[in-house]
Amino acid sequence: MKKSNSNAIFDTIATVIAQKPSGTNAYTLTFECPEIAEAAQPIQFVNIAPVPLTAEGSPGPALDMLLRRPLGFSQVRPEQGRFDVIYQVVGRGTQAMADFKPGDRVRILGPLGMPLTADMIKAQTVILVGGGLGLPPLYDLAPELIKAGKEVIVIAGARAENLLIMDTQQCKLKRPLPDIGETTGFKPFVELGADCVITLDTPAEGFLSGLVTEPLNKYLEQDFDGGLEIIACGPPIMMKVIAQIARDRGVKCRLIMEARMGCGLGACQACVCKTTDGYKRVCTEGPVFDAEDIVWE
Amino acid sequence: MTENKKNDIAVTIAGIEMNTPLVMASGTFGYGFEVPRVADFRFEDVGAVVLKSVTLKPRTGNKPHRIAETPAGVLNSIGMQNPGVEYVAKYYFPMLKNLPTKFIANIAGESTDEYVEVARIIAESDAIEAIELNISCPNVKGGCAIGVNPQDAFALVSAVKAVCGKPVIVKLTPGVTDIKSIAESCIAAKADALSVGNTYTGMVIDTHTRRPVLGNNYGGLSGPAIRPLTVCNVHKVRQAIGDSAIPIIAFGGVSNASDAVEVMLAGASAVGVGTAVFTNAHICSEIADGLRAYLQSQNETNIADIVGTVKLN
Repeated sequence: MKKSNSNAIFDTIATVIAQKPSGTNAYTLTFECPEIAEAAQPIQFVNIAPVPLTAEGSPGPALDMLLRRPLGFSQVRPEQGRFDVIYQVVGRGTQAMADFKPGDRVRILGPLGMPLTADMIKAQTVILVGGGLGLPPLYDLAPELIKAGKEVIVIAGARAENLLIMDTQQCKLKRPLPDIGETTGFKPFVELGADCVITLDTPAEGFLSGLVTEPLNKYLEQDFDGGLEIIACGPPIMMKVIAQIARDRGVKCRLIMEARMGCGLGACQACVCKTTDGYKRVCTEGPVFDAEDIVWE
Repeated sequence: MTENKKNDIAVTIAGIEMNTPLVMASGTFGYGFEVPRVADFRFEDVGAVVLKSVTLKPRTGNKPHRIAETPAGVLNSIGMQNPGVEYVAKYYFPMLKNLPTKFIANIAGESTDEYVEVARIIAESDAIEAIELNISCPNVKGGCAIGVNPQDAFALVSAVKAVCGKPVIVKLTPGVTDIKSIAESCIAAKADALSVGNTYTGMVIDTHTRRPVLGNNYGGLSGPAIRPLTVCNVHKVRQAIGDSAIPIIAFGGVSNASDAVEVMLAGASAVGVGTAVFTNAHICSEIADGLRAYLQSQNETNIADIVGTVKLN
């Protein structure tokens, strides 16, 4: 199989280049893996073994944690043969990943899932709504949208200031909200030239407070002459509410779904979400679904 | 007649000539074409693929979550989601022709009539070498009933054999008290091989929500955690049915070449590889290389010669 094939999937060994704190409660892992970095497209993801290979190349203690962890690319740099993922320590797998050191060799499967590229989006303005760890895949998509000349607005939700997963920076909103011309945004998005607001469950100075639906509803009062689309990624309850808002307003909405995953290749049928056309596999038929197609349980 | 080659890991099971003794376990390898989308996948190192279970009618499967990780294991409850035998035979089987491995269809049903009808349809396909009867899936209601009773197992295997000209392999449930008598019933019914081992029924509860993690509450446990159970069951069945009886394919927990050798020493002629493919899509190639190295280190020429050679204490 040709390595340049954009549909290629690789089950290969990547090298950890760096592990750095991201925001107040997450880490950015940088891997070197040219074949995956060159094949990756926006919104695709990788399945990462939570334990590095031993010096002899055997899985070693990884046999205790069999399933590879699906993580969306937060940034891909094909020219360097590298990509980043952002994760939070939430379970024993991510706890083990926190011990990754530069030079560790890790078995990775990817890129997985159907891409979402700018040419698939007709609207001139895209509102990206990210809750918690739903944000990094949206950061993978945002540069594509901006490159395609689209207006990008990012609404990020987090529980508290000490649970942020990216670094922050002041953002002067090109499209101000009522009474808000400037607020704290996530630095990576602000640097791209996107409008970015962060809303916290636990209020903190410089941030919006409340649910992501509050700024979303305010934005939806505005005019979007070139059409509007919402793309959301986050906890199911957040996406369910956003899907309902989009439906009520007649706005196109896509959701990036998450599920507990087995093989990542469509073989085991574990990572399904319910749609109007039966259970669909997040790993191969997703991760992006039209909000209208999702059946909430 | 096959010529003995140095470090030969080819085996013949129920008349099926396989490149290696490694058999992809049903449910972990889809319908044969999904995992090999991975670049540089080597079908030549796969002896045979057992396809995901098919049933007469389409099945929607169980509600999520369908998978949970456990210590050295995985608990799953997919619920045999499949588009039904007609669809599988029409759209999936043709994709399997001319690939350098062998394909075995796994069939399940809620009645003998269903099994027979599915077997009859599959028997018409020249992409499929053999049928594995799933009489031991823990994830569907009724699916387990036949595997736990020798009389039913005999009737089912006989009925399928009557309509199917291809070899019939019977997958025995490990969750029975007397696996020996069921194995003997299957042999009496002219089964061509036995698959010994499947997942073990398990449950994981989220202590915060006090709810089971799996949508179906219970699931099947696989992975290295169950390997010693597989080794033991293979050994017990091999002892019970004798060395000259039909071959055993061992299923459950094999992750590397050492594990594969272990189940072969216990009496398996071929080795299932399942959950391990989730950790590495190329796992069969790694195991095949390891088996060749093992033969060399043991001064053996043919992998078939090590089957059942464990020396008991």
